[in-house]
Amino acid sequence: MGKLVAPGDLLLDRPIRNPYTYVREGKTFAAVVGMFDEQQGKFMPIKASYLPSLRDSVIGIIEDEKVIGYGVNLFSPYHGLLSSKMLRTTFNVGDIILAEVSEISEVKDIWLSRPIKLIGGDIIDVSPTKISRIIGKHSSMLNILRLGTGCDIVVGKNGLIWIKGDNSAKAIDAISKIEKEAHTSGLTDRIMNYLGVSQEALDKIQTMPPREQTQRSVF
Amino acid sequence: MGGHSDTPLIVNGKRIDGRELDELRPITIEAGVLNRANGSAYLTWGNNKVIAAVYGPREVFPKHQTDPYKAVVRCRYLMAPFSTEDHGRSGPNRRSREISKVMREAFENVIIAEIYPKTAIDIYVDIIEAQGSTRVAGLTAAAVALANAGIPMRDIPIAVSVGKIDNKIAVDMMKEEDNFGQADMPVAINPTNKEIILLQMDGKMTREEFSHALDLVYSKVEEIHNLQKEALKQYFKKSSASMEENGSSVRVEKPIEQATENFTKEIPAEQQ
Repeated sequence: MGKLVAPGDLLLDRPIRNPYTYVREGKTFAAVVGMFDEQQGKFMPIKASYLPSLRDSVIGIIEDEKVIGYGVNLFSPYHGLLSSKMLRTTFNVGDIILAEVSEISEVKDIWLSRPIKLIGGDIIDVSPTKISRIIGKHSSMLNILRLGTGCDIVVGKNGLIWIKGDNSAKAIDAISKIEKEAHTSGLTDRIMNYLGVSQEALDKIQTMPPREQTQRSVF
Repeated sequence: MGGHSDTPLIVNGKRIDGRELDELRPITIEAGVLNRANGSAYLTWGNNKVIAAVYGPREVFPKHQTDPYKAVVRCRYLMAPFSTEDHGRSGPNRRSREISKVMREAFENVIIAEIYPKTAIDIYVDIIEAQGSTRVAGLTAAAVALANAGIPMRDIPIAVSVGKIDNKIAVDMMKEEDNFGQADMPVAINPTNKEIILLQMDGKMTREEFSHALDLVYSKVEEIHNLQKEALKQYFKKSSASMEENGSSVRVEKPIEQATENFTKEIPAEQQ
């Protein structure tokens, strides 16, 4: 599933748009160490800091209380801001929240909205580039994790994952397995084997409401 | 750089450590040696031992250094007091400040800083053991550390030194050749477009000698660049090895109250 490339390696003879590549003389070169899939023209970096984009749901820790709102640590180079204008609840420093990126200013102030407090549980920190693999197509991988471990799992686009349940150690192990083997194919089957999830049970889940609702209905 | 030495630096066509004129000292590079850094590399180049660490992109402190349009690149090169034959003074000195500056300027040409405005990328290069040409060893190691940290860059630069010893041009100067040779020239190059991003010279060379020296540098680019890429590849193989071999390595973050609450509880055993 693709080959490992280093910064400066030629990817394509045509320009593509990707923050982790650059274009010189009409050709695309890799800018970070990553896996490049030549058939699909897809480039996935191995390691990268979280770059915010609109409507991302992110997990953060309240680290600061200001007059205008709360400062949120998003485990990224930039801090999140939660305006207290629209808030009906208050938070304490140290609370974990799930929120949506509602606005990014040109100086990269990240404004958050629709916060939900996550009570208890653990947070684990994975590379933001592996998040799409942990969620899977139509959140298939996430459903396997939820089904196999019985844990409540919430995934933030910034690389933080919140897990609550008696079986959370197993969920953490499975997620670390996904993170390490994200570039390999047939990973879904291996994780299903690892967690002992059958295809029929998964199919039942897949026909249930779409991702956004399942994620939020946890609370 | 005395220009004269009592001891010959070339004996029977070979240099004092038995190398040919166009031969590098043995180089080994290992990426990802530090756990707390975003990226790191350990490099040995002959008897030079270098650790490079990269932190960032992260918040800029002090705040007034912030650039709203791009990330600021900061570099600190430091020789350990015990790295040379004579025990030196600790902390930065005139020489290390200069090298930090030229190294920073070299990396500013390579790092795509516009992607992360308002942040800082910190590069720390520590020379643990020195045997000549430490700035090129440090730059080569720092380039691997930057790539290891996942910082977008146009290239992985390489650096190598050339010089003139006993009226002959030789690549990769060691300490004695640097001290008693006629010229010493560290060069850093972007391998993909052969752009020179650092060039300093100490001593004298003629025009012909200079172009011969540069040719010698270009002939070594591939060799060093391949070692850098191999180090990154090995790191990837190591970190993506299946969990059964390495055990779980995901860092668990807990909020403060939760952590103290769980302190009294027993940590649940891993269920395989």
